[in-house]
Amino acid sequence: MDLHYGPEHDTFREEVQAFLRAAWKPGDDAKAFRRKAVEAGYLYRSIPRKYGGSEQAPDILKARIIADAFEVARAPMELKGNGVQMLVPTLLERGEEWQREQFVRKTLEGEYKWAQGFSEPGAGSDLASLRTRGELRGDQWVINGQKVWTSYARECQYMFALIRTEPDAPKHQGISYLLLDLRQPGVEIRPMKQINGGNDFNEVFFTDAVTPAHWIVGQRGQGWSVSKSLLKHERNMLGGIDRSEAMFNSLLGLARRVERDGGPAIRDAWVRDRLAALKCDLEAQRRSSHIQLTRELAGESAGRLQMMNKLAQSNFAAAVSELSNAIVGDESLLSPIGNEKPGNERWVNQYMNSLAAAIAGGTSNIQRNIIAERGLELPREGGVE
Amino acid sequence: MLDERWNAEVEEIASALRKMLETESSPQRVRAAEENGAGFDEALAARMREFGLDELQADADLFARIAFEFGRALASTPTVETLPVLALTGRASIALAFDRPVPADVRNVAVRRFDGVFVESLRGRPRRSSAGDRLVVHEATGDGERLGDLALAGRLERFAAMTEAARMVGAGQALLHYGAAYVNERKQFGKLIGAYQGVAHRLARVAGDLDAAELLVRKAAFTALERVGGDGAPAAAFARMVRAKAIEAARGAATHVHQVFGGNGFAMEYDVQLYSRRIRSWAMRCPRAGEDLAELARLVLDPVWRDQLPLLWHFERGMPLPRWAAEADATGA
Repeated sequence: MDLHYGPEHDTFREEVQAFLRAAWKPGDDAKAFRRKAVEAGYLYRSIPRKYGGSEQAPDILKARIIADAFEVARAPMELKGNGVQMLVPTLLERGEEWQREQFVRKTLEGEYKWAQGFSEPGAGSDLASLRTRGELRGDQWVINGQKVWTSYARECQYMFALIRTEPDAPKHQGISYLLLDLRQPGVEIRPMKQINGGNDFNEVFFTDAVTPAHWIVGQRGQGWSVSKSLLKHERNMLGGIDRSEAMFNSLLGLARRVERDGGPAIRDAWVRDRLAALKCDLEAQRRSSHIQLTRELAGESAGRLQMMNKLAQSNFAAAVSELSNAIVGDESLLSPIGNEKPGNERWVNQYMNSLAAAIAGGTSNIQRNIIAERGLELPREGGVE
Repeated sequence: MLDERWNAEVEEIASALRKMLETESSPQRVRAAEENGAGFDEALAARMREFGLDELQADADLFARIAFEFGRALASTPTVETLPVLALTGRASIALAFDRPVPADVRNVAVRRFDGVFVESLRGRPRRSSAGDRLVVHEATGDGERLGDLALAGRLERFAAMTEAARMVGAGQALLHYGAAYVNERKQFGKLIGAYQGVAHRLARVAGDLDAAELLVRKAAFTALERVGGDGAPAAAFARMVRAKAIEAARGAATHVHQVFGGNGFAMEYDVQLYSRRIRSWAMRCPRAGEDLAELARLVLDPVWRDQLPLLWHFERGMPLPRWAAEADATGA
């Protein structure tokens, strides 16, 4: 057992830190900095240089070190979003050369923004039941149907979507992965009003919307497997608990600021008990991320721990939100929406958001199914003997 | 190089121990030990002496793993209770009697006095415990050989927190395994009951909690290592953390696995009670989880202590100082 990274990676960390000291100070132009960081080999490491990446050999420890060092320096990391995180890896794995040339670099640089068209009103956890139809007429696909829970669709030019193009095939084999322009008459985007006051999600309606016949990734009917091809890239992100740690940090800040029974909440025995319990959970998440990293380095499977990441993070977010709401006390009775200059009642949205976190990207119940079926080898849900 | 797995030597010894315990501490043997009224398996104790446990000199990670295996097998010997003294002083068969009852089948106990740690002969009335063994609340004699100073007392307490936690996690994992096998056999309404989410999700939750606690056992053991600045026993924060989590996880396993067994879990015929009764009893022998959490809060939330904790923030060798540790109250909502 060893929790040190070793001398080679310690040296690498020093290089990254030296680069950051020289190349970044808060307030600098993020786009220019990212170009320098790509040049130095620190961002978009798995992406070939000809498409705008830095084309480095895979090394998950280095990826982790870079993420940590950039976080400390508050330097801009790779752009986030569906385009960079989902479409680009998919195009690299399954796309055609013209698709990579046309879309990858501009997506990495933020010029092209992409919406993900997967979920539908009747196809959530059971995604393969999707019904939005695509029909090939001449040299274009004609698309009819509806997508839902489409994040930031109004800010996006393009969508990558799972569309049923082979209606007679079994459900997983009848789907194609299409790219399409959202700015056309056949596409209507309606924002959804959310419980946290935001409207990041949208419904997207297609009425004879069109896209060129060759804007398909993979072959007809292969969309389901194409949509799964980014899993390998996601593994590069192992080893981080940044989100949970940031939430816990904010919670501690709150506990120090808010008064409870005449003193800071962090002095209250009950609050301390809950904070200590959360710290245990956070450390367990850290251990879990490290052991997954370790096993990955050794070429082994991370086992059932890998199946628990999403659920552990969602549960942690829920526990943080519950405690934060208890700490702010009566202020948690106020609406975070519609009041001017919201104070601590903004933590109510931590709770609202935690409800979404337990759904987005795979619901907690589906995560539990996966742990039960694959991790514990229980029978498949609903299976009849 | 980063490697958070048990090392090869630990794996090798643990694997041999597990193999031996599969026959020497089978459920039948555990039941037999309980039925003889003492909850003590003399033959198993003899096998452990042959195995060389009494002479074992090793780092904390091996002792943690041994405690895990003993918990997993529900072994009917007072071994886990003697590991802290064995590990930190090299003296075998001395149970730690700091603020806790000890198994009746040990002759010697370590007690804490104002001027250090002493070995006394066990004295007191053995009483049958709800877990099938016999316990004694030691009546101090005030004599005995001096083992070490009060610093040793602190190290022993921290070491015991780790081994107690490891034993509970081992028992919890074995119970989960037992429950998972049952739901793959038992049918109701024409289906294996494991196919119902109401059953499967409970076990998934148990698995997550136990795996988390098991990882903390490893971390606690790591902080004890001399090469990372440890003093042979886990760092205080991790000792507190691991026991609180292990109790919660193992007791949760007992609750949820009993639920999936339905009425069968109430029958002595099924092994589920062998685990749940011991897990409960072992947890009750430790300080309450609330005390561990209160102490942990003192250690991690108060600046005067926080900055002195080794290996807690994980930044000593390259991991960044978490923002909240660096900036205290600067992080806003």
